[in-house]
Amino acid sequence: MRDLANALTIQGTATVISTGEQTHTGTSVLEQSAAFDRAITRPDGSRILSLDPSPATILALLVLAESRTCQLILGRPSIDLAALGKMLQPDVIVHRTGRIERRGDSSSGESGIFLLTSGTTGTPKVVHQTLPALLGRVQTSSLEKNRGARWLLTYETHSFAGLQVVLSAALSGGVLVAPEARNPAALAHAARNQGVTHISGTPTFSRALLMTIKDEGLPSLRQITLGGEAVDQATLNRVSQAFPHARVSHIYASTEAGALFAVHDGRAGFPSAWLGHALPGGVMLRIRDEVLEVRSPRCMLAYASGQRAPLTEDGWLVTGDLVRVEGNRVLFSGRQDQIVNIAGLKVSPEEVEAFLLAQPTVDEAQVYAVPSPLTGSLLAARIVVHPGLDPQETLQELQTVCARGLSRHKVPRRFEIVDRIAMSTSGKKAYTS
Amino acid sequence: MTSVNKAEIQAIIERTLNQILEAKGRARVALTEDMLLLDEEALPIDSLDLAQIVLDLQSLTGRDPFEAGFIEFRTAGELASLFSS
Repeated sequence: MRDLANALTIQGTATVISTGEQTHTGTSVLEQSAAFDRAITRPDGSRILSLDPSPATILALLVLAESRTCQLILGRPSIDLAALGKMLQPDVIVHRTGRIERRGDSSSGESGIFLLTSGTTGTPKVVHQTLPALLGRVQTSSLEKNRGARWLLTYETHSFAGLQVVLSAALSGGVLVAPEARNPAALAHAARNQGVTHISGTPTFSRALLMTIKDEGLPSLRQITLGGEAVDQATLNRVSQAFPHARVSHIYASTEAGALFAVHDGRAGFPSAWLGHALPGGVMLRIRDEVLEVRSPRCMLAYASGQRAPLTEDGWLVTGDLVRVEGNRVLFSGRQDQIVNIAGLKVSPEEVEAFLLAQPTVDEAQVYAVPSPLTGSLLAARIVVHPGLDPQETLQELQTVCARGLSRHKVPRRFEIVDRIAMSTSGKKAYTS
Repeated sequence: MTSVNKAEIQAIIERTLNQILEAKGRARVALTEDMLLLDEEALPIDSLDLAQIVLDLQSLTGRDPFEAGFIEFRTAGELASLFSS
């Protein structure tokens, strides 16, 4: 299987990656990959670690992984190598720029791609993926239709979502637009300057993008795909309105489960008719105790780092995403591990966040728990008010709207007006208290 | 905010308390030191409302007397003392 190498060969001297300052062609990526191949002399598989690789470096490494036995370990620069344990100690470290550093000479007969998932504290979790599994979704989606597309990379290159974008662009003969700075302003600028047609990002990123581009829009945009966080109806509506010529989709995927499904009808959640029987690609969905559980041929069975995978006795992966059925729709209510107990009642901050985002005066909202000596916790909210509105008036209106529209324990008891809300490096809202 | 006297604290309690009462469509009250805070017959507020009052005090004074654990208080005067001492 040399799909990636073939696609890059066909591209030849055409640009496949553009950072704004630098461009890489199909040929130059293949040359880089060949240089890696020469530098890694072991014939029977090396363990290659690359933390925060550049898009060109990662593409060259993926070409390498396609053609020889090797283990590719990818993650964030902050990863503590010692914490990885012996099993994953690298023979070769490939730095962001492509520079190679030799470390050891251990033997590993197995091929695979190991994704180090975040985790701000403690040992990183290591998810074992294979290139065919990563390519699975990319190949089944219509590559021909996307030929010549220009994809904006908003995710970290080494993340599951980032790899999907890199692979989609490369396999469809497209261009990956990947500016060095990954803040919303720089990404919006690159999207406009480089005529980006496809954007894949988190709902939080999409709201930041809307705030950045204001009314100018992105005329070249044909497809915007939201993922990584549950998307609320208000955000879907705003994105559709801002990009009238683009299809707006949201996807459900995780590092552990792989890509599971995509929704294209412009509505939050997914049809309840999808529950209980096999979907394309062998994916199955069910709800147990208000939590979404999934089965997929691409689901991992255990973390390579040894932690137990959240699997049920009958082999379903517990996603930790709370869902509820409303009419013919399954809607996401928040993460199980974010649930807050307020005066004995369970509250999802994300649900309240979606309520605030549905208000036209609110551009962005973050709801979080603060400890209370009387009720255990209370909710507090940070709000970005739509430009041109009086912040204090808006705040008073919001408090009234919350008191009317939310049950009492869900009402945020402290509001703070801010200019922006911090985004984690993975593009998700950074949950802090 | 460093030194906040008890009268200022009581003014914050009175203001938040009356905002809560007004939102419930109840009559405003004048705060007294011996006013029982969680006696629903005397004052129509519940633990969520009281939690709101404490949160406002924490936000406005920058102090958290409950940091090391819950300290019992019954009256408005006792609560004000916790934040002004």
